[in-house]
Amino acid sequence: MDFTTQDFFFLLFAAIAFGCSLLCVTRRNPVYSAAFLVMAFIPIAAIYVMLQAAFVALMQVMVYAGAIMVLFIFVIMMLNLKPLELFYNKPPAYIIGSLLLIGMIGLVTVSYLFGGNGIKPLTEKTPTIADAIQTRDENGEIALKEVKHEPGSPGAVGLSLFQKYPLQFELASVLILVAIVGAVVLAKKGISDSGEEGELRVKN
Amino acid sequence: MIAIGESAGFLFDLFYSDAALHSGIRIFILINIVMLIAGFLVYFERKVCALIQNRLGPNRVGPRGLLQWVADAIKLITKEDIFPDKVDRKMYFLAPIIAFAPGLIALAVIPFGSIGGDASQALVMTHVNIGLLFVLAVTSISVYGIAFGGWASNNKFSLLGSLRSSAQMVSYEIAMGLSLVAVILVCESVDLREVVTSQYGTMWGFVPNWFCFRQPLAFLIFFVAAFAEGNRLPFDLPEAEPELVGGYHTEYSSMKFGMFFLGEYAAMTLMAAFTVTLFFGGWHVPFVFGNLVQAGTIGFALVSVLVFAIKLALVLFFYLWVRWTLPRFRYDQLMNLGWKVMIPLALANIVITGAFEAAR
Repeated sequence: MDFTTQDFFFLLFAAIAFGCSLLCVTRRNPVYSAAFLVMAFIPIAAIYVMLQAAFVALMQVMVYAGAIMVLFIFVIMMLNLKPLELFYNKPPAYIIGSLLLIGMIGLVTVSYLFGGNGIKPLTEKTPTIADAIQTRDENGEIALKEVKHEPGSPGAVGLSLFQKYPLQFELASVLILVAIVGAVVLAKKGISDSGEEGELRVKN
Repeated sequence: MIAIGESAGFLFDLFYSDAALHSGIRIFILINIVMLIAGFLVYFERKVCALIQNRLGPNRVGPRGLLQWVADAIKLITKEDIFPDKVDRKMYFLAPIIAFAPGLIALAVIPFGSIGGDASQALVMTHVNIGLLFVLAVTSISVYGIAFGGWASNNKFSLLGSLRSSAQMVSYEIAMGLSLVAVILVCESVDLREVVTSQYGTMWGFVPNWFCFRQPLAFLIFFVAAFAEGNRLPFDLPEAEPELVGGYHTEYSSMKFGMFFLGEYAAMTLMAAFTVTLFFGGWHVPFVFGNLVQAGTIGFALVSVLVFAIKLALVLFFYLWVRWTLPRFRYDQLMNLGWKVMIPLALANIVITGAFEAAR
């Protein structure tokens, strides 16, 4: 097998992602852990781009690195934890973590070796997803226009979400809605209902 | 597709080839232009401030003080580079770099002109067909520079500044992203080049087809959020001098401070260029577009770049104008505005736009 430029960049990004992930779980300082996790997201996004999934790559950066981890770091900074407070041995955590890791590697291996429509990266040869949309032609008549979406583009992702997997999509959105409601309920705890806007009255 | 003439052939080669030499030249041009704009903005800001406050402003270095920013830069570089005792050295060193880089990276996907007026002939440093999302994704990284800078400084004021900034930027990113959904719905593309070409033409014969007229609410929300994203007044809570000394950069000196400083101007340039592209028709001039010079020639390319530059300068002037005329918000007002006003408005705008687009 030839060693192409693509292989080189894959190995490079994979190595960075691996190194940063490793540092993320071994650092004693929680801020450093979070920072290395963010740094691990970026090469993973680069690998997504190499798999022709640019939209997923940008969402990875925007949502995980740009929003979720910022909030994590926000909380860590607010708590201002001392590095040593967090560092104590927790054997059950190690055992559960190792089992999960082994399970995940096993799952990926099995689906790669035996899976029918398993993990197949999109390539330049993957056919574009065609979709017919309603438009009006010059005479104002409703006509169907065919639109082609490149694999991995926002259009292709949107089509597969809403045409192929609408149930899964709706389930995920319900899950997120529940999480939002839960967060509001938790945050409101301890605040009296009569508290007017602008002043938060805390009970006791 | 408009044919490209002989004279503009080399431009097409320069911007549409993957050769290392051409990419290198593009990167060189980008970095230098951004640094030049950022440097000049420092001067421009002081002049605008002086104009508004009825003063003269810098007028000693060079003709009309034009070289003031060079003097400022030399001063910053030659100052002693201090690492305070209790800082976290690695993060303290890294933070200004993280704060500076995103503005520079994201500008690479902003189209600033076109050889023939077509989307496929746009002049842009890197051709990305999801440029709009790219800009949003890359700018969302810049918050780490401020967050880490404030934390690593080991100073309560700095930490407060960085906490404010992370909360502020995450909140306003949502409003900004949601306001852009309406724009994407209308132009049916996230390719910034196509966003520009979809703004060609006029409405009812006299209003340019720009998104600031077609999507006024989205424009308003986006513009306010852009101020908050760039930590500019009236939303510069992370560095509010009267209450936080200097906010996240209190402990920074020399060029590390300079990086934060230039990073703010680079981010401002980026946001202004993004605004021009999305809402002011990019390189497009209404009414006379295409009649001025022959499309596909070098003259056309130059005019389109000039148009973009003029629009950029006007938006940047607006930034400075706002900074020197409006007072700072209080922190809870800022959060209320973001979460209780702008996000619901942006959501309503999406619903209305979606209904219109579906009915069309």
